[in-house]
Amino acid sequence: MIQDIATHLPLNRLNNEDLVQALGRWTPDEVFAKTGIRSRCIAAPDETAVDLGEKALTALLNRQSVDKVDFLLFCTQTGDYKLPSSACILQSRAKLSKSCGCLDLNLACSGFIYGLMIAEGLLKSGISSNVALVNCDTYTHYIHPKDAVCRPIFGDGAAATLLTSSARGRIIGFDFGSDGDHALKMYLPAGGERMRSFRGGQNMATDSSPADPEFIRMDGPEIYNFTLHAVPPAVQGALAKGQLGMKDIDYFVFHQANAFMLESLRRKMNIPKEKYVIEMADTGNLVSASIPVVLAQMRSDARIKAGTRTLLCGFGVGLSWAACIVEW
Amino acid sequence: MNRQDFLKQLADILIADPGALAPQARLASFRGWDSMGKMAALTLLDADMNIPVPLDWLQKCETVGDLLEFVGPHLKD
Repeated sequence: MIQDIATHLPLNRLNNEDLVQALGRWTPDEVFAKTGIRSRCIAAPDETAVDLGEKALTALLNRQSVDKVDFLLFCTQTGDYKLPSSACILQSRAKLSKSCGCLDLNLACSGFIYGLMIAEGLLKSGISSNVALVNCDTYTHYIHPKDAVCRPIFGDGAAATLLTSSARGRIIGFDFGSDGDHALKMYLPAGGERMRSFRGGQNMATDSSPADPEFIRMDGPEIYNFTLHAVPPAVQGALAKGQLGMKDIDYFVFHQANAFMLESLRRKMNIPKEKYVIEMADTGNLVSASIPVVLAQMRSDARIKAGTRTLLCGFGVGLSWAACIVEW
Repeated sequence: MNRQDFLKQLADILIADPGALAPQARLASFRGWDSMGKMAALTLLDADMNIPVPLDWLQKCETVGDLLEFVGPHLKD
């Protein structure tokens, strides 16, 4: 199923030194201790998720001999327009066939697993033969410069995953769930039908406030509490559906939310450190791209090779969560 | 974990002297009770003491006494 993963990270970085200066609190070491992040990838002001996604997708297509991607899934919450779908724009930019199906997924940190689920359905049903799944967001465009909750955490980045009907990279044990009762624990108030554009797009004027509705709001502790509730059962659910135990998994690759949260989850689930991947120090939280960006690195440095089993779990905005197991 | 150990760990989270943790003390008055401090408290309760915290409960928790009342049944003394 999973054939290859390519990534693209913006060159701009926000390091802890510049961050603490902008926020006027903490020290660089304190930020690292709290988040496990040294620097974050930041999209340029005029660089959109479609721009970043195109670069990741182009890199993927340049090294694969797949001449006909017949379905494009684009998981983003920061598309170019309310309409049309960003997947259609990306189809044109990447010069994919006009017979290619295109679909946007509006999900955040669970979006990679949901994308895998849909791709597998398309492949197993015979509807598609080659599915490209692109995960990309530019959350930093929607975070106020003085927001001390979101700004230390999030970065921008893109991943493009090629899924085919081959036996390699088999995906099993999908487990998922949602809790819309707590949907507004993390949200962007303006821009939808409930509150149309407040000031418009990416205005980060200095006279604005983190409380303005054009900026993302996150109740960090409640989101964290949600993960403590949702992630362990999702992991157990994936293992049960895959008829596997914890010991059968080589690596646990969770959404790279922040290192503090990930370490607490590891301790709660008694996962050995050597099997648990925390790699976000120089990227930040890349939303739905965080898991595939880590997987690409693990493939590159041969931690993932034929036969390796990885358990993936994404969780966040929605509230939404999903887990699965990939046998590489 | 006994009450004394809990208060010591809570004092570390709140960046306060354990002696300052009177039941009526308001959590918001402590420098450590920010977003990360609340997450550390959740870790102490859930991951370390195995006490699941209901969603939204933390928002209603205003004083040290509220926390002590919640964890009381799980302390050894």
